[in-house]
Amino acid sequence: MEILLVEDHLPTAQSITRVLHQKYRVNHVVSCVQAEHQLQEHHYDAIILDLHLTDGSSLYLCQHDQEQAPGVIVLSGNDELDTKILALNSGADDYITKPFSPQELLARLKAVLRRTASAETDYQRIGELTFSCKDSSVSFQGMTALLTVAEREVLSNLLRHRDQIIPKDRIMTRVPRGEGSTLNAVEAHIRSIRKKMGITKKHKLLETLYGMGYRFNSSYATIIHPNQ
Amino acid sequence: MEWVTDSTLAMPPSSTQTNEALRKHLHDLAGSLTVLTLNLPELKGTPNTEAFTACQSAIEQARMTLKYAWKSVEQDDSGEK
Repeated sequence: MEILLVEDHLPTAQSITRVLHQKYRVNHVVSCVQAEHQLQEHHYDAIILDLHLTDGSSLYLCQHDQEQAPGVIVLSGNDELDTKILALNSGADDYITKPFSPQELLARLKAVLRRTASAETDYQRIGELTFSCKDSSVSFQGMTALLTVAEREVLSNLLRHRDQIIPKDRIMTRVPRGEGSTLNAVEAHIRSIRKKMGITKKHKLLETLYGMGYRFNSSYATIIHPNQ
Repeated sequence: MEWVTDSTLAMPPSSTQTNEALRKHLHDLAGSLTVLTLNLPELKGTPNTEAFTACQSAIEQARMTLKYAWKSVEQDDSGEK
């Protein structure tokens, strides 16, 4: 899971990063401009957003209308009711008043991630392929198999961005720590997913693009290609 | 004997400062308290449990006082005071 931390107070950012680091990958930026850039370039599962940054109020970053938008937790030293209401009405999923304990931050982040994950489609049917995130299973051409946590995250990511090339390092960031989150492990996860789906490396459904990444080609989920 | 005239020394807000200045001050306090709160668990293993508990208590008292200060600023703005 990848978290974008937007905080201009460096000691606070370092302390938050240390708290989150054991469970999540944290990318830290210090300004609204940097945060905007990061959100355009990468997919994050959640944003932890300090309300008052040196380049202005970050509240506009809560406003998102794209699919699978990351959950947003606003951090602020301001304990006033109006500010909290404004942040939540602007699209924030939660508001934490400073100071907060590490346990509170972790619990609230977990809750936000749970809500955003359940909002995502956890069941997908593409041609002859069905994928259930909840059951951690995949079926293809009559063959059903259970997936490990890592395989489920890898496949879920590829399906979410179907027909797009996803770099290996980006897939890697989706795999929880301790579940095989290295570049070599990603290759192993892909191999295992193919095996469970009953397809080989030659099958274009789950395509390897050398030096670029992987791509789930949805058109191959419907048509049975001979010799593949 | 010379008086310390370092202008970088933090001065508490005077009575003439507005609530905006108070807000800024409260923000800074909240930021510093956040770092102390987040780092406190690292001291949990200390054999000096008395000092640890005192730190915990000081942070909690500061947190409650800060909450009270925000309430006061809020009420002042809305004319409740």
